[in-house]
Amino acid sequence: MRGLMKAATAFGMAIAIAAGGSANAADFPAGSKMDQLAKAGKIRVGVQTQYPLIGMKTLSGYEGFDVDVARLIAAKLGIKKDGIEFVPVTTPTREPFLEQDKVDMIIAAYSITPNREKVIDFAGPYLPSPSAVMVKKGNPLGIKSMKDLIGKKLCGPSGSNQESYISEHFPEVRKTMVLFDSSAKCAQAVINGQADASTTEVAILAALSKQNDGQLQVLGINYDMSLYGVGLKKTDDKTFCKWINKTLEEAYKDGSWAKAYNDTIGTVVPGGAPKLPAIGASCPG
Amino acid sequence: MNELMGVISTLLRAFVTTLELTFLSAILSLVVGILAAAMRVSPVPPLRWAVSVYVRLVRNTPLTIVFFITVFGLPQVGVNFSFFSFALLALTLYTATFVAETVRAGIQAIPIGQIEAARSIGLTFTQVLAYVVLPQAVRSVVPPLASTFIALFKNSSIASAFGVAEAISVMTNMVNVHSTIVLSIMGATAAIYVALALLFGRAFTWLERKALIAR
Amino acid sequence: MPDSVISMDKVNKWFGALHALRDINFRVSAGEVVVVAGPSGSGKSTMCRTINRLETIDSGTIRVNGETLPAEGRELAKLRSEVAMVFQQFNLFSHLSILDNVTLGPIKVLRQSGAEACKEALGFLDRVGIGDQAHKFPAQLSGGQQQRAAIARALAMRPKAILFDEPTSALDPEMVNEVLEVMTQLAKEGMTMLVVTHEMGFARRVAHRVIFMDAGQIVEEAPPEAFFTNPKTDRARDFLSKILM
Ligand SMILES: Nc1ncnc2c1ncn2[C@@H]1O[C@H](COP(=O)(O)OP(=O)(O)O)[C@@H](O)[C@H]1O
Ligand SMILES: [Mg+2]
Repeated sequence: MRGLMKAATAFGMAIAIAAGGSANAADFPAGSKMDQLAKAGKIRVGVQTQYPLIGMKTLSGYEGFDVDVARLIAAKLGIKKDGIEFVPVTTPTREPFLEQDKVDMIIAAYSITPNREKVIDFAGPYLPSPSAVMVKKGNPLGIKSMKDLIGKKLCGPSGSNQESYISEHFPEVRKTMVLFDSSAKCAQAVINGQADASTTEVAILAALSKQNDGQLQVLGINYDMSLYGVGLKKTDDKTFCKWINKTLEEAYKDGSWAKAYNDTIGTVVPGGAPKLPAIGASCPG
Repeated sequence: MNELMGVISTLLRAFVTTLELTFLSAILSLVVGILAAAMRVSPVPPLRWAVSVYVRLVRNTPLTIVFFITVFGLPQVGVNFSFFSFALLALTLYTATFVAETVRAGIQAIPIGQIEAARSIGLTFTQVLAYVVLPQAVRSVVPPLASTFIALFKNSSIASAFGVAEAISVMTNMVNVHSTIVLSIMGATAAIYVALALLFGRAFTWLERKALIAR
Repeated sequence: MPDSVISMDKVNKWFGALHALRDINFRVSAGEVVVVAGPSGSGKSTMCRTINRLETIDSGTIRVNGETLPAEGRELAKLRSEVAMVFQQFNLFSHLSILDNVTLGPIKVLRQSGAEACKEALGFLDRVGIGDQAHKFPAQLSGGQQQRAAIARALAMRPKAILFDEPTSALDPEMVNEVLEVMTQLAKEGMTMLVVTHEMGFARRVAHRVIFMDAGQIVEEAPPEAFFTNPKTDRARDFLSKILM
């Protein structure tokens, strides 16, 4: 009896995967997270609200690459656009929200780190997100590398990956770093001459330099090649995690991933959509 | 557990900055607030109007916006300080309005006869304030000032969003790195805030008793 | 009029629509004791307060020692210190000891040294009979003692004149005399005094002149004997008949 059930489940999954985008509730193994979400027709996704081009809340709603990826995944679950509930998250609320089932997944500039993987699962990665450095137009201080930032006022968001990465890898730079709660404030500080440079994800810098046109410039210094993942509640059952990986791979193959990128980050960062890194963070194979 | 102890010791160091911000702006806002209260009851109408506009405007503006205007507005008109000094300025400008209102209420609670007697012996306006009005007002303003300063203590955390590495800024960084103990880090930070605030409360109770005795 | 310590010429004062002082003209010469009588609300307090500029006036001139009262400021403060005032409610500074109440003016206004002011203050407190209360706070004294302390505070300013606004009206009857005695003593020593009071016995014994006010006007002005035995106006007669009952 049991064996039969297992076989049936496996069979169901195979069908679901084969069926690809045109999923409906019946395609998922009964009781699986996908099945629950598809049946409910609703999904709660944690997103950032202040990362331009990545996760941004505007008057007209949520937008950015993370938001598009969320919609892509929801669509493959057969969930309509208005069935997606976006939940604003911040750095300190992400893990607790997952642990307490406040959201079904988090797509919020969430870098995959070993420390985080202790408490949550990551599907993906779905985007390589290097950090970069932005200065006043014309680079008056002639900054060419991270070393040139020693003794300078480098501005960054507090509680960010950049802050922790620089603490670890460029402690000398960290000593004179100033932290604000948003990259937009850092941009203002650089424009005012209150900070010498600003750092965060390259996409955000690009967006900010575009907003303050002509006053800022993004340098070609890239560091912290962190990878964004889809945050999930930690479970032994990796079915949902694996399904998301599969979905991301398909989106990559069929061009919908590249379209999302080109619609958002690609509008300011030159060079086109990057290669998607090897999938399989918390749930390989 | 070891990880948490490490975080707490880093946090405690950041609380030094929080306390510096709190104490310095408490002293400055006391000075500015008392001056503003004095101007508000002065016989010179333009002084009264100026202070009344300042108090109403700043007191009813969210502190974040006061910070924003101070930190990013002043440099655009050529005034540039360190982020710490800007934070000090913003907190002082904001807190002084509450001190001013409290002191003004304290002044107005003093029987008019006290002031008339003081004027009739020939004391000038400033002397009346300094020797008769303020010493009597102190008694009634210590308890509300305690609340104002405890609010200031917690308000100083807004500086974390404006380039000052005080307790909340450091907590935010710690939370990002130590993602397995997020709630413990926040709990510990809250506990330190509460402990220090209770300590301030004690100090004020002691001051209040002293002010009562020194009649 | 170099002899007038206080002079008022055509002084008018309004509280909104209420004409509180109407064309007030009068003088107080050096060493003179003038009692001001009149029904409640007739403007006695207001007149006293304008002399000390605790109230402004709308027209007319008030001179102290021949000098016109200046507008608000240091000069006014100086002139104020030359005319001391004793209030119905004593108004001792509640946060200061009796001694400090008396020395505050001499130290801050007359710029006396602390030791000098203290020594003199103790002398004044002795004169009003409460030298032993110097280190108490006002709330610890009886009403009569507080008013005597207030008189000592006034004396310590070495004023050219002292204004008394119903100094005994807030006192329990048994304390009235101790205050009147002090005032009588002052009068004998030649202090210039303007006294608003209903104490007609005091007026008879001590005053050189009585001014009778009604509805913001000076209605009658006469030596006490003449005023009490032969008031000229009906209003004064009416007032006296009520108060002497
Ligand atoms: N500050 C004030 N505002 C308005 N009216 C006042 C004020 N002070 C006194 N008055 C009025 O002026 C009149 C004279 O008052 P007052 O000089 O106190 O009289 P008296 O001392 O003779 O009893 C009264 O009608 C009183 O109500
Ligand atoms: Mg009166």
